[in-house]
Amino acid sequence: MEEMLRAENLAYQYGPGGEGAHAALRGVNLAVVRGEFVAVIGHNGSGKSTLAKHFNALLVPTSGTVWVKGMKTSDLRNLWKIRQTVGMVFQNPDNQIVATTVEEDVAFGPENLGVPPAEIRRRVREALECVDMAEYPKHAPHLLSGGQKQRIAIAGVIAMRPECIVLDEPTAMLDPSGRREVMRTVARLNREEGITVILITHFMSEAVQADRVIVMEAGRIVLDGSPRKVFSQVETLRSLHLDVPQVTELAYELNRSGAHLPPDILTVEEFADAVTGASGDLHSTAGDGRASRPGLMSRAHGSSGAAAGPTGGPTCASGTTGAAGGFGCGSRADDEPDGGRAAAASCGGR
Amino acid sequence: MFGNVTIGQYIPGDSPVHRLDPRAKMLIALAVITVLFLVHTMAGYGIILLFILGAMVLAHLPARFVLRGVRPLLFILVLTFGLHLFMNEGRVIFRLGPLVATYEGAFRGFAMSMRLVLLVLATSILTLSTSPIELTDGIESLLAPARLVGVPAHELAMMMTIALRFIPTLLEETDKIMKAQMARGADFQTGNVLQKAKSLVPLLVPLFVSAFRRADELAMAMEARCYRGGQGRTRMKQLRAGARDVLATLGSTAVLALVAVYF
Repeated sequence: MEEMLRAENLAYQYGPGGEGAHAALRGVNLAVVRGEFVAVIGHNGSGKSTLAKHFNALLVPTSGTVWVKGMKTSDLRNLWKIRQTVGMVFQNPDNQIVATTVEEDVAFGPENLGVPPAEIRRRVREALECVDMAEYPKHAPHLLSGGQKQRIAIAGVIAMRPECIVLDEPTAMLDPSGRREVMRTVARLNREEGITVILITHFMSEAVQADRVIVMEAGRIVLDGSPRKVFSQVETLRSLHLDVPQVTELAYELNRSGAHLPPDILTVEEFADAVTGASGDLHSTAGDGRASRPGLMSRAHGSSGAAAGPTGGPTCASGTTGAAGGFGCGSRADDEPDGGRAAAASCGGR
Repeated sequence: MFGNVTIGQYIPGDSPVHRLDPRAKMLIALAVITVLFLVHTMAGYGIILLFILGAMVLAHLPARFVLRGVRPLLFILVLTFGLHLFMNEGRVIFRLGPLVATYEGAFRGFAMSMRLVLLVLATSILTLSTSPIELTDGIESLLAPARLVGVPAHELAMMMTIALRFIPTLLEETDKIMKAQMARGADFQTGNVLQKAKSLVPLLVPLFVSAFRRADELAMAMEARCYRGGQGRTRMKQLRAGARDVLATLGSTAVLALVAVYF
């Protein structure tokens, strides 16, 4: 597999040396191969945004080295090639759109690269089609929704024909439907166009969609592996003040109450299968074929109740009669606006 | 509150004037303005007025839109006319206390007012028939030769583009901050001028802070997309002046030059 990004002993300090300095990264080692979909999680100040900015040379390491396709980011001669290879999408869609119409904004990147006008036109059209915004070429950006604006920002990056896209919390300021639009676009770019994706996110439901999850804490990588491997370490993640996907947490809590579910459940379907598999004769009610959408979380509880209830709760061993609230899952509703509340309501706490 | 703000006063259309290259329009407008300051007979002003009215008709612009631009000028027009009327020596029309109105004064006052009105009309037709984006591109292209003597043509155009892009965003934000302050008891409506100005401070401070933050993020986003100033940059939309544009510019300039010479 061809290597796309590599960081070696990467350290970065904000501010000048001495007292005012703040070390944001302290020795990060990381390699990402072409076509990978990597999610980076970690709470605020863990250094994940700083790491992202190193991948297209917006920041250069204080010590250590970052390579993009074998090019050192600290070498100024590589700067423009690197920024074309690794595109970057930021959190606030308003503050990264430059031009007054959608097509002019998407054209901004290729224009900077000196692409001939006819070719720019073609790229703009393709990029807009790629993000499902082909009907809006003449629109003024401020009249679009947050999700649409963020997709325009992604199109602006795609028009530069990058091989890797780094997205720095692209969904943090969006509503649930905007988040879904953006995630669908990102996932498709990765699968169909083979673009390497580094997704920095606060949302565990998004991180689950990646091939690989990296957990950062205090400027270091503390966990690195498949979502299944990372999220099954519920205790570690909790000690880092991070959440795990809600179904994973539900399975974890159920297991603590004596159930025997696999610890690495990530999606509603898996959970439903595990529960129905364990209880035998019941079939899943939650499996509508769409994996890991946060909107389905509340249904997970519904199905767990339905699945466990009629059998008198042998899988859950807590002796409750089908009410999900009896399992004592301490699901938090604060940062999963869609579904989280409904889940908490149906769980009812301890 | 700021929902219906339009930037510039462009009226979209497909008239011959709309289709004209923005550079041609700007050059012609410049020629009109120059000639306005060279002519000094009523016939000269008359011909320029006809020229402007002709452009207005060709652009399919409703007269009231074009004339709207003159309205804020009314006070200055009255002042100009009045000053000229009373401040010139010559044949007396009437006396008003120590003030003496003269025929010469009336003529010069009328000429000066006419000059101002025509100036506004000419530029109004330009901005009414040309979108801000076209204007920006036109300015960049026209100033390009001046780059040799250090005029930052591309940077100026980029500044205009970003300003146009962020005016609606900042207006929206102003509205939001105002409502947030009003919800906490701020009063932007009552009081004299000084008090009103004072009450704007809690509005302007957060607005400035946010504008600077936005500028910072935008600069980073632009850099991430390989922006490095004007050099080596291409444009998706190329301004292409056709025979029509050249003819229109040369024709108009020739007519205006003749007017300047003979009137």
